[in-house]
Amino acid sequence: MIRFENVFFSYGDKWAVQNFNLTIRKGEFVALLGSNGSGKSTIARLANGLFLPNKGSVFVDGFSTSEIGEELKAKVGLVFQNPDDQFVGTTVEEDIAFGLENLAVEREEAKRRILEISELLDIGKYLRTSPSMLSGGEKQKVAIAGVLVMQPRYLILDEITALLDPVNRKEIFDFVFQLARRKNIGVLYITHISSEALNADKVVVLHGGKKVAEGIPAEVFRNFSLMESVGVSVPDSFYLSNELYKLGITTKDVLNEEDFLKIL
Amino acid sequence: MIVLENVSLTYDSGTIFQKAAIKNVSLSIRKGESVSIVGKIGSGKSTLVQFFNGLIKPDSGKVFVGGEDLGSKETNLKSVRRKVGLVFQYPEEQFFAETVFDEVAFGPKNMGLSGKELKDAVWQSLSDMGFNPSDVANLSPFGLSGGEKRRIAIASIIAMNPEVLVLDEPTSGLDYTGRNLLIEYLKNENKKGRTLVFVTHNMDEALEVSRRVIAMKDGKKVFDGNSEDFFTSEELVYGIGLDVPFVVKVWKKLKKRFPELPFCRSSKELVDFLYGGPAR
Ligand SMILES: Nc1ncnc2c1ncn2[C@@H]1O[C@H](COP(=O)(O)OP(=O)(O)OP(=O)(O)O)[C@@H](O)[C@H]1O
Ligand SMILES: Nc1ncnc2c1ncn2[C@@H]1O[C@H](COP(=O)(O)OP(=O)(O)OP(=O)(O)O)[C@@H](O)[C@H]1O
Ligand SMILES: [Mg+2]
Ligand SMILES: [Mg+2]
Repeated sequence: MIRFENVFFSYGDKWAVQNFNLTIRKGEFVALLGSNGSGKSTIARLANGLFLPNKGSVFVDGFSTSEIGEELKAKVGLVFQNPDDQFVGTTVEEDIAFGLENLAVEREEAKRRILEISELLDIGKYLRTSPSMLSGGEKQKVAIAGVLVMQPRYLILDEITALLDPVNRKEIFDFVFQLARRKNIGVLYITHISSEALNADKVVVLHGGKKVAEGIPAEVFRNFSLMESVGVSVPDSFYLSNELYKLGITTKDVLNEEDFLKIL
Repeated sequence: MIVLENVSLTYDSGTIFQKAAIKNVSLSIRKGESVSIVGKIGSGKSTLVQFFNGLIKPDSGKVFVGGEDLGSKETNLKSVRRKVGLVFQYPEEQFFAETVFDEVAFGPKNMGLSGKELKDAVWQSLSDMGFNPSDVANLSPFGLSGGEKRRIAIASIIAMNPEVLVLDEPTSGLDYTGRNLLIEYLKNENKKGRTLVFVTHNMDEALEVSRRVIAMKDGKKVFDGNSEDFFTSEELVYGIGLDVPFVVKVWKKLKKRFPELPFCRSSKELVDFLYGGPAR
């Protein structure tokens, strides 16, 4: 598991993350929400040892991130918010292969994995293209492939569906959500799309670098006034469901879109 | 205001990477309109909007802005870019200045603004984007979070007061407050007469912001018309590989029970109506 223990981090004179505690277990899907600048991406970088805490510690499977380096990056895969921050290769294929070479994965195995992931994410057609020649959403998919191909034990996903159309968004989301279950991977999923947090095992809300809520989605989102005050939206389905229930139009108050459409 | 006539573009033409990104697209956007552009990833949206201010030239076909042919040598592209302000998909990658003030001031300064006029333009656009200007003016734009950078980038374009505002997925990465602020700002600017072109992957936003929608598929324009007609047609929307806005799905169900329910462009509008509020 990944464990944050009283973690503080600062870029300069003020704390970007303050006294932060969190556990992400294997097989668990944890959604991290919070307004712009609340510290989400900073936490992402602390989770895989790219940043080290100024105070407190982050442990991955019992080892502090300040003690292990390279090894950690293979174990904790981080997909950046901006795909351009991630590209290293001159072609998409090289880019995806890069991490595997660093892990000294055998050539045949590397080939097999690259093929598998490109089929899965439907990016096979750009393997020989330069990442710089792709559209925004295409880049995002390639960046995701580059991390998934390493088969990390934990995944830190920083707004990875922000540039995708609704169908691709749903496909990618469902895929990483299932990964937690099927492959027993611990996922920290950062998003501004609160409906993506509806099926999470746990929702964590940040504000000004501090954790202000943690719990199952129904509990966290039900606190409308807190969500409002920290600038986090409740999913539209939840908002509408709640209003229609109060109006007596529906007889049940539900969380997600499918359930809501069913009872209408 | 903006007219495209049979425009086509192929990237890396003649190489094995050749990619036909725009295929024979014609369209016309009138002054004061608000148009949302939707389409799957790679369908040509970003390429299309870069024709609008002459950043990309088509291989064939013509582009006119305010009646001027952008392919003609006489046309001053600089003045076209002033008229048509374009916010890129990842605008923050283009940052260059040491302070937020200089970043936002760059455009208006080039237009000849200085002194108090310049400061006012910068201050106004920063506060339009929800900042307290004096808090951020002296910060480095590079040291901001993703969503903060995005709003600075938008401020730097609106500071030039362009007649046409073109935004390529400006809400991706914005938080709840920032998104609402931007959507309200855009709707309001359009009401005041500013022409608006809005690229988005969020179908609910497209419906809320614009009465007109253009849908792209594989480089072709496959729909251009009323956004209500578009988003209420499952056949059209699913055919292009997109999704029906959530509010439309809900509205359709409710309409069966409440025949008098008018079409609603946002969940807020829907709730207001049901409460007998402003929409009624
Ligand atoms: N490189 C940096 N240098 C200085 N300050 C930074 C840097 N990166 C982030 N910050 C600041 O640290 C705080 C947290 O930033 P972070 O990027 O973690 O936020 P976030 O929650 O990911 O926001 P967003 O939703 O906008 O991506 C913000 O106040 C931000 O301005
Ligand atoms: N600079 C470039 N060089 C070569 N091909 C490009 C370049 N930019 C885009 N393309 C290709 O042209 C097609 C259209 O790209 P465009 O960026 O216009 O799509 P888009 O609709 O904006 O997609 P997204 O929603 O992912 O941003 C894509 O298939 C893309 O791979
Ligand atoms: Mg971030
Ligand atoms: Mg694009």
